[in-house]
Amino acid sequence: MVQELNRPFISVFLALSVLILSSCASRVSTVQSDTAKPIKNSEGYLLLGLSSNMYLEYIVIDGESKIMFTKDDVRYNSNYLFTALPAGDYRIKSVKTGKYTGYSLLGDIWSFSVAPGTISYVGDFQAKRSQWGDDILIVNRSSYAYEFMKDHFPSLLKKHSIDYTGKREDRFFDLIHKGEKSNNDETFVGKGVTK
Amino acid sequence: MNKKIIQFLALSHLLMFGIVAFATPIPAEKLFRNMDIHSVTLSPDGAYLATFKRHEDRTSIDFTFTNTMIQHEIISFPYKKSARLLDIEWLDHKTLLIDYKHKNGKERLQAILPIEFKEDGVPHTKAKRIWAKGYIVDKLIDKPGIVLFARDEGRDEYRQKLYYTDYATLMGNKVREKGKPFHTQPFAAYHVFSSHSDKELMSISLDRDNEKVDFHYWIEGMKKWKKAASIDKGNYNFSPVSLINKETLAVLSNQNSDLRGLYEYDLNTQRLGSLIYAHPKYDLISASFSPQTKTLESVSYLDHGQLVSKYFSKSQAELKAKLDKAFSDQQIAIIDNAPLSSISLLATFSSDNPGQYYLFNKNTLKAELVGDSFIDIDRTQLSKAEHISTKNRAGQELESILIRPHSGSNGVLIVNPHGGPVGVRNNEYFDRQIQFLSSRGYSVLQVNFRGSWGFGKEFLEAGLAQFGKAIEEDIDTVVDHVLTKYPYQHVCSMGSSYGGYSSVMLAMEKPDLYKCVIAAFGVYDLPLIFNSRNLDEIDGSMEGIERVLGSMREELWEKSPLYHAEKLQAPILLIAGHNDKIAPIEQSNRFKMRLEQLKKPLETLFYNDSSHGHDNWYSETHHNYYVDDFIRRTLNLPSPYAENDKKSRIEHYKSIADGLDNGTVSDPDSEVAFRNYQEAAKLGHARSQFNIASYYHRGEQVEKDLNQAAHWYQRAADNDYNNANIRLAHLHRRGIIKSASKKKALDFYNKASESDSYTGKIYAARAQCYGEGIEKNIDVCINTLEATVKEKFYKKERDKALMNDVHSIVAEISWRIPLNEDRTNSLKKILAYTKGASIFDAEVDEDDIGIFSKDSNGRYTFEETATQIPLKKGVVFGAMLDISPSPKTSKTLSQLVALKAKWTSPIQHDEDGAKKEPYYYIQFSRYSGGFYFIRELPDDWMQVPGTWTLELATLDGESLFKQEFDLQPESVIRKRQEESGLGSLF
Repeated sequence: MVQELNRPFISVFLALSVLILSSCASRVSTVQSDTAKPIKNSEGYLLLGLSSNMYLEYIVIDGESKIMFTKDDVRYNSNYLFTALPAGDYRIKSVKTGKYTGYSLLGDIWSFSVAPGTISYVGDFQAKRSQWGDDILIVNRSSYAYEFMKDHFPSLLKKHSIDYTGKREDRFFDLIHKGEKSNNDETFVGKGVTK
Repeated sequence: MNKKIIQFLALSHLLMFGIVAFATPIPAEKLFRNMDIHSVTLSPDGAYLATFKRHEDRTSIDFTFTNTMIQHEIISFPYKKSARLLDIEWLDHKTLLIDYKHKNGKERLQAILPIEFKEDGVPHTKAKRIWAKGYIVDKLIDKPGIVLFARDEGRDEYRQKLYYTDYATLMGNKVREKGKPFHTQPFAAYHVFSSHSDKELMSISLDRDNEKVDFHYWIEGMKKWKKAASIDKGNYNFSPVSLINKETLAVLSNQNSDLRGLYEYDLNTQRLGSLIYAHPKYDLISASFSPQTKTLESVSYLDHGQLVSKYFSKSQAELKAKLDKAFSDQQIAIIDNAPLSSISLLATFSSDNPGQYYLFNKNTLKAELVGDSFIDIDRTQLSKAEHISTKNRAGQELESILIRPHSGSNGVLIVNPHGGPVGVRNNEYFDRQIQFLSSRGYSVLQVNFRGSWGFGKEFLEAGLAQFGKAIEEDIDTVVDHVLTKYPYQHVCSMGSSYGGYSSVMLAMEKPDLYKCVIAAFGVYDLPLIFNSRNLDEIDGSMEGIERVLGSMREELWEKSPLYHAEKLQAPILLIAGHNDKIAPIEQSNRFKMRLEQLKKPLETLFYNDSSHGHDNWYSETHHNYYVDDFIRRTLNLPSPYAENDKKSRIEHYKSIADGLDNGTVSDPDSEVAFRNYQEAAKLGHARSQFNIASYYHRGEQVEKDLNQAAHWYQRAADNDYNNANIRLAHLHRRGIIKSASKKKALDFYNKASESDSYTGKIYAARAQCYGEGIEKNIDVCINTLEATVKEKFYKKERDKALMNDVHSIVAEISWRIPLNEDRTNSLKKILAYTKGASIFDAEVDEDDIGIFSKDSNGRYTFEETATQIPLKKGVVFGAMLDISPSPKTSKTLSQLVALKAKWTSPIQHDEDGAKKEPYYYIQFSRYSGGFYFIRELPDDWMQVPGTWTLELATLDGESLFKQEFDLQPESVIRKRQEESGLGSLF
């Protein structure tokens, strides 16, 4: 059913149009280390989960700058794309799923903003193929994204706020971030009074 | 505390909780499984019964002569084979219709089973698939051999055409050619249904543009179908029951009333008319009319969660009264009538009865037992529900169900809110989980709070947007009431879905009362429901969510456990399914993270293969054993099992351990698994003893101790766990335990062989090649190996672990032992038996040699040509070689090539202290292409400097490739480079 309702917002296209769509896109450069050089004031971080049971040649994100990335760009042993980008408005534009096939992703539900100095978590991009057809959607898995950042980029996570870019308000990151801070403060106070 | 006080407390405890007998725990395996009888159906003439049964190895259909009650199994569907029986019904007196599907398929298929009788009267049948696409609308009792069939016309499932057709035409998919089209066809029908004949039909069609559901009808004599009603999609308050005359339809509706009653509906004006029947307190579930007289026969509803059928004719009402008297305390449903006889089929059931089927003769008033739904359950162990009636603060009556253990209360009341929360309810039916818990001494309370179904529209709508408010207020009211009636030592909350949310909210609001929480498949961040998937914004999901939860507003954060987790004092067990699309795992993971952050007492079970609940009995069993274990540990309760009930104790411990050890739960908890295996092992459970040995063997949860491993392997072996003999043999062969000897190794291999272990047989054969514990005899060794492998693999049997052992032994022999042609040919034959290898020579070209990297998918990428390799953890080195069969022809390219390979290293001893042997293996390849020969050094004990050598050769001994790698610390390599002038110029 989802697939059926989904269809008006996803159109199948042929490889030729993918080539046109992706022609100006540059291959993404992912953040490799927690101690990577600082981003510019006009930049922010994009964090996007990726989960797929079908072949994905590449995904194109268009906006302030245009990037494309493949499964190999997600970090080793994880399913996340983490990259610095010029702050601004973006949208996931298309995904190429085979030699001659792909999807254009239409409508506002694929758009998001990257805020300057902030880690913008877009969600997990899921592409699932089943006997009823392909299902492409974005799922909010902020807690898993936070665990990923905490495990791999703890310094960047401390230094930058992290936000979910979905259409409605989500206070989870704020809650968990404050909780971490409060725990750290308690530890600090504890150490301070120990003699 | 002095002795007298202790005695007094013990006595008062007994009085308070009425502990006069131990509960008798029902093993989970007896409850969490399919019922033995899935369904029973009566032939139209009442002469036969067909029973759909589930057995351990198959499902079957039993045929019963109702006059003698003699049964015969007429067909079975073994689980090993592909067909899965789903449902059965009679088409006519001697023909069954079955629904089934293929093992891995989703499509529901149908087949016809004509019943035939042998000369001695024994029935038999053979299933014949219906190839026509569509479904049978009516069996046309008055037209034997003919059915009314709705055929799917083309690709559009909403274009169905009605035909009269015989069985052969259905089976042969010739309906369009040979069937007789119905007088007039329905309009864009999604589904057509009849009321027991082809004289009155109704259809449902979907008006997608206007989001409406349309009902059309046809009565004999009409030229065309007419529209009966057009209902808004999502409005389920209009359920047609029967046409009672040409102008009137009987419908169940609450459109103009609080309670769902039976109304006349004027087909001309398309308006609800006068009330036919309504219960004063409850919504009606169903109603039935006589097909002949069009008079109302019966209605049904739920009274305190019990199914009640009310009959309107005097004779039927009297009959029902007699049945009620005969089956007192039971709910009764007439599930089948034989229109041409006086025989009916009854089902009786209740909270403490999973169900029986009876054949009932209306003339003689005799009921004969057909069978029990659950054969293996002792009904005296089941606990009975008790009605609890109270009023909520709004003055509405609340019906609740309390199940108290029939004996041996453990003093714990579990408050168990239902899911939904709106439009769902609890019934007094047999419930596996409740009986599991009550047989262990727990009482379980279920409240039909505001929003529950069956008590009218006002009550239902009073639950809308009441998350954490009126709903929990109602539960509190009933809990308070129950606690005044029955004192409990502990109260816990437990629920699934909305019940998971509610359980947490109850415990947060009353931290002094609730001492533990079990929240499964729940939601804990209410705003996340609106923010879970981008597609929800456009696919209409929001409307349904808003109807129940209300719009996105500040209150949702206030009523979300996640944002107030600090208020939770009780230890909590959080259960979730990774595939849950209703309450996605994100909900539970967020709550878990927050509770961990707050250092709250928390345990989690996140099941890998479960969605919004479990779809297999294994996980259900694990879930419930764990719940009982969690509550007991939290409340410090004693074990529910008698000291001498070893079997139940073992089952409990091993079930918990298995689920946490084998990937059923996503975050395996080896600490809990080890603890439970240990308990089961102490009680003598062989597999648990083997697993404890494995923990010592791996050094997981305990200090690695091979002698302890050997001790537990020996105990498992003594309990006839044959694989333990193999492990013991390996430990002795490798010389890594106290008093290890090759002779003992051989003895254990032989012992394993006696129990038909092929691993034992091949290793026992191998020992002769090297004279290990037996006189050396290479020819006997190789011949025995060949014969054993032939015996096992000749019939293409797949046993990957054994195959790997065989290849390892063959590779070792081929490198270590001088081979003549006969011996080499034997080894080649072995590889032909196991893998089908047929080419044993190849051309090898050097491709990449040096350092490689490994990506997230485990694929290697060549990085740098080198033979001096930096010695460090995680280094990946070796070669990628091009291998082609020799001779290289179009025929040999598709055949499997087998070569022998060997890695030798400077490592003297492995992690267990055994002498490090070279790594021997067989390299298989097909076609022509690049193959990797790679080593990785992830462990500390591998960090030994020196030369690694890779060799590749044919089984006949011809060397094809050899390469040495010098592994040295980076400082040594750098120094060498500087000395040779290849390093930095500065």
